[in-house]
Amino acid sequence: MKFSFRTFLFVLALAFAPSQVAAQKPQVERKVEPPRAVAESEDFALERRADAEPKALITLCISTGDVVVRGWDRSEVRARIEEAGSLRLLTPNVRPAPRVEVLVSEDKETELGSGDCGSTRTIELMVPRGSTVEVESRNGHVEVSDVAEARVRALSGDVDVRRVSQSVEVSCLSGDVSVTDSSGPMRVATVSGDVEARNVRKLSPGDNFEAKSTSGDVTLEAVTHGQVNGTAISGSVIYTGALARGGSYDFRTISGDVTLELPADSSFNLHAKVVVSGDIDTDFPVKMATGTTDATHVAPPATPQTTPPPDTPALPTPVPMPGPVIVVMPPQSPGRVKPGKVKVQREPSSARLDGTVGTGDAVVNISSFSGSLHLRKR
Amino acid sequence: MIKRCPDEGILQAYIDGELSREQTAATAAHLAACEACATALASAESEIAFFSTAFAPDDSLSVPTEVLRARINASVAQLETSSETNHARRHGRSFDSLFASLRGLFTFTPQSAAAFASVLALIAIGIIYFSAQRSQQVTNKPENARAIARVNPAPEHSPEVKTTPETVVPIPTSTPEQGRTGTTAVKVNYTVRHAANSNGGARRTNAPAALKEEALPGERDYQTAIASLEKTIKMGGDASLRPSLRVEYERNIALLDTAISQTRSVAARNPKDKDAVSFLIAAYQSKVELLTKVADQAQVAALGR
Repeated sequence: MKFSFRTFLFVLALAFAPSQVAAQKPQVERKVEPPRAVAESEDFALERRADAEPKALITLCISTGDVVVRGWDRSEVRARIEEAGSLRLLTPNVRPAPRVEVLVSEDKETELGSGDCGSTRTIELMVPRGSTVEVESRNGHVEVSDVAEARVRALSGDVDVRRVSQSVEVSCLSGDVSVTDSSGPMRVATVSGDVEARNVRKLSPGDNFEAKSTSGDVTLEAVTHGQVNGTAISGSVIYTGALARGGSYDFRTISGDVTLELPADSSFNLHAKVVVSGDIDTDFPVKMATGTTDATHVAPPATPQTTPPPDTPALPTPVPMPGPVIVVMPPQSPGRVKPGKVKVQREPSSARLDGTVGTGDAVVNISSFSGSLHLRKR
Repeated sequence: MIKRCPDEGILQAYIDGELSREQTAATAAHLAACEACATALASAESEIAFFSTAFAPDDSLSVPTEVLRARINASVAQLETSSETNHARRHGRSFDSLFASLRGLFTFTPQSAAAFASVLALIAIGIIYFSAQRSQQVTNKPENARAIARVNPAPEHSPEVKTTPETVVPIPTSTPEQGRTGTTAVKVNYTVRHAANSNGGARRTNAPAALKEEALPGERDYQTAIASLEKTIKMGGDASLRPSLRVEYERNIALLDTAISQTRSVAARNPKDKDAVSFLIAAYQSKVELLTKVADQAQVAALGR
């Protein structure tokens, strides 16, 4: 009997042992997981985190794949990729890290080293709001928002920069570039694509804004920098917004048009020129520089070919002359600038218009080699 | 350049580098001019990129199992050893047959020996005769040349050639009068070029062209930089840029070259026109910037980063 009871207990123990082991096993595996390194979510296959300084430098080089960088209020960098692969945050041996290099690859086995450019479908980075982000992308779209500084070099793909607080620098070979709601000095250039900047402002008086495209258009709206340059080769340059008092604006294109849409009360000195062909037309009453004592006169002396008699009304239609045509809309109130003072200056193969609108609080230089120049009232 | 838009198959082959050199050039030229085709190429490329990314994990797997691979390797090794043996055997057989045929050559009969000796004697006589004839021709040649010179005096002494440099007008211009002289100048230049070939006056011949192509201030630096960058890009090869990107690059280079050419012609006509000169410089600057970007990429590709 004694033997049989012991045997019974042994059999019971054997019967329950596997279920106990099974119940304990998941707990053991969970302990093995690193506490912060890997936490798979539903949308992202892989995630890495690293403590970083609030003004850390975050760098990423990617040969193929989209990049999304967003600022957040944590002093931490979080990187996620959608698909399985290899992801690494390279930091110096300091916590929190002053700089973080993000290394990514679609291949799990790849050993990533500093300076490597990998591939993935999409990588998402959350970085401290005060950080500087440097992205080098060869093929894919780049989106950067809510950081202090953004420097993006893209070969092929659109670049979208939003709410960057201190400076923006974007260089792109093939793709559109858009900068919105940002501040600080800005330099934006693309070769094959459009540049758009909206609601961007200076941080300090010396901040410049520079936008350039070779075969695309440059569209600027509400740019409050003291010095604004917009350049295109075959595209057009369009500026919409007020001019800063004391500001300097330089817009030029070789074969496109330059269009300025300014508030009706704008005040500026105008230097406009088309070199080969094209028109200059303006909605603003331009007080012509006549080569007398006007300090804003920069045009070389040219023989005026058409001087309407004093009684002649304003010229509503192009001046019937061969070559480039200038239409100057004189002021409606005859007291300010008399029609007789409106002179059309011509050079053998070009058209030029130099003068003052209002009291000349800003300087506007616009020129096109073979396109037209338009000044419109908003 | 092909006139019709390339179909999807050709675009795929173009991306994969499977077209011949001529076909590639023709397709690239068409793509550079046709925006719709360039867009089609870009979408085809993005599709390929999408699928290659999607199948990357599968591609990285070694599809043949280890057992199958071992069997294949064993079969290949067996084939190689058997082929080597056959090769050696074949060589041995061919040497045997060669020696057998040569052996036939060295078995002489009295008749064949006499015939062979007579053939050798004939060849020797022929060689002596032709060498004697040749030496006689060489000694007669200067006399012939002098005779030709007497018939047709040297071109550098011809009266019309002497007068031509005096009538050359350097640069043809656009005014009607000068346009006429320009035409004369072209005609005269042609004559001078022929004379110059004989009397070393090449510098004078090229003078109008040199004046025409004279670099504007600051232009030379840009041209040097551009040449250097183009060399770097060429060294990087075609693989440094994806086909659609290369099309974009070539399209923009063509656009900038046109801009440079147009602004240059105006700036050269009126060098004091600061605006024309600044447009020229802007076009050069844009070209240098574009080439720098692509050259950077070419260097990265060359380093295999």
